[in-house]
Amino acid sequence: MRRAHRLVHRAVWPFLALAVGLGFALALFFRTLPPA
Amino acid sequence: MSVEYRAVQWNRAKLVYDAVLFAAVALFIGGFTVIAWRLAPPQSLPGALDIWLRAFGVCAFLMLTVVLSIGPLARLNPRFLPLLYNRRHFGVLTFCVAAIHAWFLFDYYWVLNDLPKLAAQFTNWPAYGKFIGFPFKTLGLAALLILFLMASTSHDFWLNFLSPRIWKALHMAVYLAYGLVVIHVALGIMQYEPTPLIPLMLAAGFGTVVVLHLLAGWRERRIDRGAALGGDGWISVGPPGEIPDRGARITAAPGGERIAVFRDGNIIGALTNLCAHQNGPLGEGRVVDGCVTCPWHGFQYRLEDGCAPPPFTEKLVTYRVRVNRGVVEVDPRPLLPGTPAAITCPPGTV
Repeated sequence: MRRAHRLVHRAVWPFLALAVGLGFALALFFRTLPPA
Repeated sequence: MSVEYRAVQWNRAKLVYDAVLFAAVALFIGGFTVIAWRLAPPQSLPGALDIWLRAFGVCAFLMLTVVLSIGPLARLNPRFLPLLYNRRHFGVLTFCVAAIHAWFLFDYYWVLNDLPKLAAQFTNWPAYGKFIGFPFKTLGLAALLILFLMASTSHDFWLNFLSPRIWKALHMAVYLAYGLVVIHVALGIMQYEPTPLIPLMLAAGFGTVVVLHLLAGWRERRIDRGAALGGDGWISVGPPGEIPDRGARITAAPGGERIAVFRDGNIIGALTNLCAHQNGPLGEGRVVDGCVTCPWHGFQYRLEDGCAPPPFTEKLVTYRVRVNRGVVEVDPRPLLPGTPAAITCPPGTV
């Protein structure tokens, strides 16, 4: 991999982890399951 | 490597890889269907379609998780390199499984004679302003379109046409697709099904991929910071004997690309660490019959001048090397691709 490609990787993954992790946590927190 | 055009260069390794892949997918889909059918036998055709919809959806998520784990796993441990060899076929099959998942969704509404309801979910504009209740199928569709783009350009024709740099950049969109898939599931089925398996699957899958990528990036930071330059701008690599025979030590100038310094017996040569095929890490490969062999797909280059052996025409950037007071040094200023630059170590230094 090129150096630039690795640098993008290093920048993308923390951002993706934060954004998607936050989205997932909120979706779990606000989950209102329909009655069985 | 091949000098003639073939759609896919089949060999035994690829056939075995694909056979295992297809068998694993068939086993998973079959197992999921049988278990779900026995737990809650469907009472109608839409019920049966719903089981297949879920089976292919879960399979596509797990496949995407594995595909995205292969890269960092191979960077962390060379034992995983065989998984990387035919990753393209894995990616294309992942798109096919995801497309079948989408087809079953379409079929489900078709059988119910309710396609307008499906269309209305994509055009329910007020719902786009909500978090819970967001039209999650749109996220899935966006991810599917990205996967289609990846699958349709997963061929050396597109790699050569776009150049490895642009092709690699384009294929990084798969990370966005994975993020969209996670939120697609979290805002979709996770909101309707009480089972803890869905959040567990998402957390374990996404968590694994994130940790592997962060770990691989963190481990490689040291090399990318670059080695200190000597007074005349050369980099010290170490005594010749410390470079593994028929292997390499990887170094880099501050802010520069990596350089792979190889030793083949008493011959020392330095090439760029980037394979001309897909920018694979040449320095993690071996010297086979005098040729540096890329660990990703087996592309080969002569150590002395970075040229692929005839009839191939690829040429790599080379670097000047010298042995100074028993220590191998490399000049980080690149020479023109294909410039002979390897040296023979003085007697008694290896």
